[in-house]
Amino acid sequence: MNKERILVVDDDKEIVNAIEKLLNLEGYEVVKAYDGLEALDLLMNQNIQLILLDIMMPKLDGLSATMKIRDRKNIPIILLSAKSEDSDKILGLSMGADDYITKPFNPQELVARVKSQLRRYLHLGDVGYQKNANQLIIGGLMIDLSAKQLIKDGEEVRLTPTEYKILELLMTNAGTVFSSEKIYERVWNEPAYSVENTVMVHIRRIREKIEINPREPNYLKVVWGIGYKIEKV
Amino acid sequence: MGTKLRKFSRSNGTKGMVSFLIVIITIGMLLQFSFASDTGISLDNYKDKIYSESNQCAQDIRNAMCSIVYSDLSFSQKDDNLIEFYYQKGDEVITNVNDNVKKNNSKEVNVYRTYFEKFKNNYYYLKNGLWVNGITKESILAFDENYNGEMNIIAFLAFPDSYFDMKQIHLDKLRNSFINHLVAAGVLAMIGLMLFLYLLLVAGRRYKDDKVYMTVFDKIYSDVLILAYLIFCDSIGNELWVDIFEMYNLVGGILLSVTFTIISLIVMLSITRKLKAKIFIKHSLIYKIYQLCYRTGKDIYQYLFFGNLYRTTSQTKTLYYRQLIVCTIASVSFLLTIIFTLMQTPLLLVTPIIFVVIIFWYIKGNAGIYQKIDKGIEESLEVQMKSERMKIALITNVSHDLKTPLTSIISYVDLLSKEEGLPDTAIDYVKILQIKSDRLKNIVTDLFELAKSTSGNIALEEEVIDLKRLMEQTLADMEDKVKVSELQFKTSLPDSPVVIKSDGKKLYRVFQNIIDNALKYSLKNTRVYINLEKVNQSVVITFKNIAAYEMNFTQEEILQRFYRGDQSRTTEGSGLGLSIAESFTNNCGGKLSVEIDGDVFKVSITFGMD
Repeated sequence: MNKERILVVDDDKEIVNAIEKLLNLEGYEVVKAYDGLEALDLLMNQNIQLILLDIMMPKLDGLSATMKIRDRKNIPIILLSAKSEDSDKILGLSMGADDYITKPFNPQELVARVKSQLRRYLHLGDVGYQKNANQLIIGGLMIDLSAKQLIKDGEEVRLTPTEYKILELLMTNAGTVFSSEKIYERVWNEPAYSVENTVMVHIRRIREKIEINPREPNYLKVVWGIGYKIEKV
Repeated sequence: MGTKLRKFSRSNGTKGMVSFLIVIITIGMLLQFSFASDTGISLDNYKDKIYSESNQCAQDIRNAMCSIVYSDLSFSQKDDNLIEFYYQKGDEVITNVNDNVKKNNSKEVNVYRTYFEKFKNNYYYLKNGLWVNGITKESILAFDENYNGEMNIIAFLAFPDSYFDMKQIHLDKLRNSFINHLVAAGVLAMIGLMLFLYLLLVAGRRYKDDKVYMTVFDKIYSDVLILAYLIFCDSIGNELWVDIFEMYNLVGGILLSVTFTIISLIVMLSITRKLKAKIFIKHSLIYKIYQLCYRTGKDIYQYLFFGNLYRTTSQTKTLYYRQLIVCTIASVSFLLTIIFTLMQTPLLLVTPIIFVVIIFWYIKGNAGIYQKIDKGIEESLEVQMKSERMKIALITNVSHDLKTPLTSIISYVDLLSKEEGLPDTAIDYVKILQIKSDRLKNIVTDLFELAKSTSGNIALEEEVIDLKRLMEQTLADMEDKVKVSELQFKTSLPDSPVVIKSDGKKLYRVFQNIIDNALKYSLKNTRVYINLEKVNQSVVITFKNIAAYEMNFTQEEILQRFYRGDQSRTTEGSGLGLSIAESFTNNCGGKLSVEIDGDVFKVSITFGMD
């Protein structure tokens, strides 16, 4: 089997080396670059499946590099940055990046995110072709309404009926904020009274199943003081 | 009983009823007066009880005399027809004397004269244009002086006793009627006065307390009100008098008097209320003008002669002196103008020229200084902006410089932990390194967040959120930690949503940090109380817990950065939790305060609701 080749770009050599070791342990091949221009060169000459890209770099910064890469390649781009503001993340993702990891990162989380992006890029493409009217795709999540099944990055996730119903409600109405009462009434089919805890427990369980880092969810988000929603991607 | 009476007497209904009664009574009283006046009796001639001795009688006699001379005999048609008269001018004879007299003799005039002489003292004849009394031969001038006496008229006039009797009866009737109306008017006036006194007494009072309550009319300045009222009275008074007292236009008069009474009541009661509240003088236009003048005068005085504020900086010092010079020259010129005007010399033309020159000098001189001041302000703003930008850049750079090596540390420690064949001691060391580097990561993240938040460089995502729901969500989110904590959480939230406009994510961090704090530092097996309630126009959220150790610090200290509940600083955490909570609360437009009472640690967050 061909090893997936990952390009790691950062102006800090120690970080690049550390990430190389981490990914090697997981069985990936790593190509290293120390600035944006070098990264673009390597990308042209080698077969690369994923890029880990720092934002603050000399010569060509990560955001500009992302835009240039997006012009030519469809491979997943994960941004690595010390900038942790929401606005920075939103900017990065809207430039064409697929994920955003803030420094200092948890090595396990980095690996998980890399895996997730690769799976989606390499295998989920096929599933995407088979997509029919009963399937709904949001990022790496695909819900099959007829089979009542959730596929995350190409792998099935086991959900309880209640969890599935909550997820179905939120995914079919992606971007809409639901209050806990509304979720309870729609899923349990009972009038809601003091149900914040019940709903939150389920939300947390779903998060543990579908999110890489449940404390910083990518999909299922709490809108504090209002309710819950699944981000429209 | 007393309160009932008080409630009744001070109620608006009673007051209204009484006011209405006063209006009615006033109309009644005015009508009584007008009836009394209509009798023709006045207080002047009221004492004339006997008609034949009264001025009225003399007047009546003179009137009759006039009428006959001017051959206007209409009076004979009325009740005065008891008066007997004879009138002859040439062949024309008019008389109301019985025909029997005429038939007895052919010398008609003498026959009549004899007839009239019977009336003695009450008989008058016309002689040389003058009326002469039949007995006393006293002449009476009955008509105006312009009458030059037509000599060819022969006339006799007599007032029989029956006439006097009739007149006496009539006079008695009128006098009775007059006194009756007067008494009625007096009684009504007394009642009205009493009711009015009652109104004055309760004006501005309400049942509840003894404060003086003002009404819409009290917003009008006292002196303006009184002046307007006097003008109103002046314009209406004459009309009212003619209409009512002379029965000229009774309906119009009544309407007018109703208006008059109502307006009078309003004005009087307003004045009373103001007197009661002791604002009668203060709430007047004159007083306000006086105040304005006083303040302006004081200001001018202060700025002119006490320009110490101006003198402190070099720029405004020049402004101050220039102003002083302008004022002095202006006053001198003003005086000169008056003197020159009085002297009527052509020198009068000099003062306008002085004014033009001085104004030019003033404006030109000031313009330069204003420019300098403008420039100064701009420069200081620029400096401020620059330092602000540098502060933000510093935070960003420091954060980057701290995070980059930290990333390496965490990554290599992780790699080290995966290394095989390490001695046991090394594995322990690596574990410690892992924990400590994680903590360092948390501290750096918190520090960065706090620095950004306190520098004010933070983007708020404001939404309409429900604080009650936010609290429930936070508690549900932290349920795992709460469950293992051996602490009991007692929450008291309102039944209805508590809606404010704020950043939910930031407030979640605030609640989370405070609850985390409580979880960390509370005595085992105690209760943590969380309250959310609306107080007046604000929401107050309080967190109370029992500290597990003696809190030998002050409220101010605990909110300082890096201050730790336990001085040994062994527990996990960055020591920035409460600082971040406070800073975020401020960012979101709220106020966070800490209270320490023995072992009770209490955090309150207040938000205004609008």
